Amino acid sequence: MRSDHRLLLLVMAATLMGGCTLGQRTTVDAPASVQFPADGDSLDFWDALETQSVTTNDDALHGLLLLVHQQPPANNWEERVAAARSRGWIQSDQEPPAPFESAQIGFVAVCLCHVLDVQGGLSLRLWGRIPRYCTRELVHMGVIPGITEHEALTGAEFIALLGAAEQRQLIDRAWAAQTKEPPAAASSGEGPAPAPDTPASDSPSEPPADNESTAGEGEATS
Amino acid sequence: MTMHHARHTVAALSIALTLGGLAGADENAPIETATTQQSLQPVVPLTRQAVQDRLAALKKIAIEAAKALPEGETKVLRAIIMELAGKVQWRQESTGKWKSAAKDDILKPGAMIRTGLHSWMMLRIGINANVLVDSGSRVSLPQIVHAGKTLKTTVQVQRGRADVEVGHVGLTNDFSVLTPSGALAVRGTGLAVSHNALQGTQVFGSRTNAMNAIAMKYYGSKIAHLMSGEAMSTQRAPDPAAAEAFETAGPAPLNANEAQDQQDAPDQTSQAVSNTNPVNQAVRELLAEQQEAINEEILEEEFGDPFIQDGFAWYFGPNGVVLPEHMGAVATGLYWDMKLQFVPSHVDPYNPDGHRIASVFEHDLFASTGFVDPEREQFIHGSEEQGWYLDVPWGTELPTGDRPLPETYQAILEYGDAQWSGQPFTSADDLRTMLTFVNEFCVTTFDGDGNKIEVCRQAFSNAMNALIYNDMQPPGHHPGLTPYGQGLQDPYGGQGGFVSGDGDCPWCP
Repeated sequence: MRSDHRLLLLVMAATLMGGCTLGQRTTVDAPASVQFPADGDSLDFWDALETQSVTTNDDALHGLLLLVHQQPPANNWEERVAAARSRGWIQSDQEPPAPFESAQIGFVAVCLCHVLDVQGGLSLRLWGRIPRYCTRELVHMGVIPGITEHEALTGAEFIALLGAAEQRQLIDRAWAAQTKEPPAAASSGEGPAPAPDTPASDSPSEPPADNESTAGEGEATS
Repeated sequence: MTMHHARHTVAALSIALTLGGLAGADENAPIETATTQQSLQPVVPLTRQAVQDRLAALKKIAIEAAKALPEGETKVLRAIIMELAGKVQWRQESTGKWKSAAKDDILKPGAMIRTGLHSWMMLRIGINANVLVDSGSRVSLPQIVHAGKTLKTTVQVQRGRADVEVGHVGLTNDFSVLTPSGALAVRGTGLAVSHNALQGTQVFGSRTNAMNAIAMKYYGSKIAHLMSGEAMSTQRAPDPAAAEAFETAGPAPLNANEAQDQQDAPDQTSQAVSNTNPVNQAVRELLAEQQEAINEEILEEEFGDPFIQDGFAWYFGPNGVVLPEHMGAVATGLYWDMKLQFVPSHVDPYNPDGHRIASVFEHDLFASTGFVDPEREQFIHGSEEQGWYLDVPWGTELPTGDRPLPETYQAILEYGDAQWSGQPFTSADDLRTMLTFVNEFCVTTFDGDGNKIEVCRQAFSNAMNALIYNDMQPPGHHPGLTPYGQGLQDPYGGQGGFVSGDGDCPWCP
């Protein structure tokens, strides 16, 4: 019995000592956003990110800014933070997260709430676009699976998340076109710039233009 | 003529005129084949009858393309980029460099494709499939072949989404879509396959309307149209009236394929659709044209008349250095230089070494492309800092063996041996045949690399220009044989065989 107590104490001590490291987030020394920081390298960025075990905050902001066609392109962490602040993703009085730490899904969700102009339900309206309720709202919308705001994403999962967000943008545009109204995100002054034609918006009477592969629309062509 | 007939005539003429545009496109050829295929000589049809004859011939060829191959025979097909938007890149080899995609780019089996956000690309694969690669995707094409009576195609979706439409052309479809977690087969309609890390592999219905719209736009952009009466235009921009006629009535059907579509259709409704759908008909017709243009281009660019090919034309062509009446003499010079390792004194009293063309040709070829035959590696000189060069001494024995370069030299020699009658060649056809061997060497050695093929031809022309015939001959820099070329016209020196000594050399001092 006495030995059981000792064992329990040892476990508790180890847990307390280890607690310091349990609270720390994973870091990546050379994330994809550092290897391929430029807009023109975006395809290499996606390929490198896909193999990364976690998505860092720098990767997340770079990917999100590519999604919204940030102009002028942000080529380093400071410029990305500045762009995120100008879009309201990071509040002016809020400290940005560490660039090389794994991004919390809550941080990414707040950014996506702005990108998609998610209005949300009562909680989101009352508390504003905070990580917890943005995450829950995006889970409800089916954009992200049922995970909590503190969890991290692998590179491949983050790419899938942006793909889902892009699909959501297309749906929003289709709804806006059907109701003869401008897209909600565009009308609010936030969110993405008008995207180039995609297959979902093609029609026999208005096929995509020949020069859509040129720089200036979509991601810049290298 | 009724309005109905008039529409068909407009469409038929439009399709025939398309050939001019397609034939001019760079590598606008989704099919590569080693099998014998019928082809038409590229001409500009200027009369109604010529257009109609040509259209009839095209139909025949289109039907042939959809026929089963003999058992054991395969054709390697290709994919062509029909449309794209945003940022799209592709590469042919897994270790190759990514390059930006462009409309009409040709992708061979093994090609890899990647798309960025807000980007997409539509491909025509082989003769029966359309694939729409969505944004944020990475897709590869491991297999595109026509084997016997089966069209075997594999599309690998590593991430993202690809919409697939597979049509019936009278052959068995073996179309597979691979993802990291499984494989799916498409039997003859369409589906979309998506794979991502959050949701794994998902299957959807394909975006048929969007894909058809893109396909029609692509084919429409290739159509030149009839203006009115007998007047024809080569303008490539779709004409609204012609496009309308094309879309509503469609061109005359390819009966064999249409019958096959009906036969393959699972029910009467599908039969009716396959029979009347103008998109099906238009795509069939335009594919036929596309294939025709491919055949023409392959034959013209790679194995056609060597005199007019890039790299040869400046020297052998109609306005080239070699005068038509001297073609036979140039062929004679080429043959005897290949024949003689050492030349008699009346050919060159100062240097007895032969095989000079091979030496100069290989020197230039190595400098331009890095190509060297294994037997010649001993003649590579230089250093890493100052550069490497190939210096095969004149009089060095020609390489032997079952390799492209020795076989080329051997082919020239065998042809010359068979044709030599004791007198110099007089026909341009002899030179044409010999050049064909050289051209085959260039095309097969540098397969797919148009620049190197041209450089290879250029190297051979340069060697001939330097050694056998050029336009710097006295008096007054006239076109003519060099002294060495002149000597090779009569290698026996007027005797029954080779003689030694001098006195038979008109330019000797």
